[in-house]
Amino acid sequence: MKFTQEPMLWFLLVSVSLLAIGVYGLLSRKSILKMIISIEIIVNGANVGLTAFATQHGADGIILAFFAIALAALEVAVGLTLLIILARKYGITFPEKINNLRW
Amino acid sequence: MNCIIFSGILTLAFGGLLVPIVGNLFKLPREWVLNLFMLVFLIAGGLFLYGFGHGHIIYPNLFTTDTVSLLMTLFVWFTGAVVLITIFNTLKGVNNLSEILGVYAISLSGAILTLYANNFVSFLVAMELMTIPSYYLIMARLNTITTEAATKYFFSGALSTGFFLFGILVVYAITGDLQFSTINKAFHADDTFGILFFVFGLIAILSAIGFKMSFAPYHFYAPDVYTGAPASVASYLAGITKSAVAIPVIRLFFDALSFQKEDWTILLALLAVVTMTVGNLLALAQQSVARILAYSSIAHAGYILVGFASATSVLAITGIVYQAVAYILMKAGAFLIVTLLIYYYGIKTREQLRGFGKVNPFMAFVFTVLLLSLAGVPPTAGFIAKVYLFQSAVDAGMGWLAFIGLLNSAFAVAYYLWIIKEMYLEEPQGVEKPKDTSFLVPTMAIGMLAVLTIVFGIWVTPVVKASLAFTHLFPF
Repeated sequence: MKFTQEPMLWFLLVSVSLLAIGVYGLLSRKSILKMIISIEIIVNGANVGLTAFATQHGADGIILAFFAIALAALEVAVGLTLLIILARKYGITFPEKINNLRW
Repeated sequence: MNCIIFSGILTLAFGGLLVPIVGNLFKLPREWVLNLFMLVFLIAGGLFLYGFGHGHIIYPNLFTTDTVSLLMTLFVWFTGAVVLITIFNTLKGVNNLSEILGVYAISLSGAILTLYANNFVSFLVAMELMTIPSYYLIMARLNTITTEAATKYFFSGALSTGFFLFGILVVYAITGDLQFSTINKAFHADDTFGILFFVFGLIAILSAIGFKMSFAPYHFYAPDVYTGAPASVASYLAGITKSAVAIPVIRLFFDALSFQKEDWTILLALLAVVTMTVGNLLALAQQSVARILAYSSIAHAGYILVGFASATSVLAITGIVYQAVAYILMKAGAFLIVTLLIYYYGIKTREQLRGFGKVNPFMAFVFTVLLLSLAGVPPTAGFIAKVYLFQSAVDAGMGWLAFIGLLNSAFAVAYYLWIIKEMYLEEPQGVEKPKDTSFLVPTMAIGMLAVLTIVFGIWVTPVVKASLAFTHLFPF
């Protein structure tokens, strides 16, 4: 079955719209927590697509989706560390407040 | 991949995990922690050397072992050890230094693992093993500037991971395969929608790689991060990780995507022109030495792109590999010298460097050699790399690309020579001798990197042989 046919196309649509929502959220939200959630949405969008296509092409996609879930958890761990450092030490949760570095 | 090499990588990773724990449990002094890390590096290096002729193949679908990845392993390992010594010497005031060194060893194991990636899954996992610890490395010395650099690097890196996953999803949807060497046979998109969709995936993958290697539209984070982070960490980020990513990207473009070379080479050629020009022109306008080197690292990403753009030429892979080898030595070395300048002398800008050749002749000489190699002056590795890259561009019928590259090299000589001129032809202006005189060991270690740039500028055989054997693995 090709990826442009009926059920696959819907999965793909969900997946790509999750990507769009995530990128929009990452660029428009100002709070670090919301930006981290946007990254989660992007990664999970890719996971939806990978899992859907794994039903067509064998287990590779699901394996990659598991790895991606672990990576997303790691990224959230780093992101929350950043959030805690910024909030506790400097009292900032909005990254636009810090602008020491300019090009 | 070769199981002995893999055990060397595991030694680095578990050493980075265990040495801080041992150090904290037994309350070892810092020098002992560094010695333990050097021991871990030595064991890993011995395993890497031993793995050249021995060992069984494991994980054949995920990782491959070939000549170039073995050669690059040694360069990454050696440069990584020099960076380790410099991090130890220049981050002395940091409370949790042993954890920082441990995180660094884990990240370096990811960089070496990336060299062997032969599959989208292993490429993604190895690249993230390299990247995620480096977010913590940037925050080694905790203040607002490093936290801001880490925030910028984290969000651009996380976005690039998301894009990379989407690019993989597109390739997987079309071909049903994730291994580089079999994707090109499985590709059959004949309708317009399939081809458009594939182009979308290609752009997603390209932007993810662009973030990691700082190509032109994705280079905005690079100068901020490289100057905001401690300069020793910046030498790791700018020197080692970018070169390490280039090797699996060769496999990706020359093997997995080799079926439509004519379509993406012209796109990469345009990106190369923009990247080189932006990097060199903006570097001319900078005052801070670290920022000059950060912009010149963008320009060097452009030179690597010249090699990818001339993918129809057989010489292209030799050029890319030589540029990766030369870049890892000279860029890491130059940033490490900047680290020592900032830490021991407090020198940050070009004006403050005035007369530095009289203050510390040895360090100034090492810096000069590395800068000349970055500029591409003959008896250095940077020159040979540029010869192969521009020759391959001419071979691929893109003489204009080689011409623009040469023009850019000429631009670049200006700001490198400017630094050298400030060091040697001006009188010293109140630069004091440092009280802390422990700079000799790191300077000598960096001096070995400078010697290697000259050695591989004269003795071209090992790299060229390895990359020619590598070239035969790909369809041309």
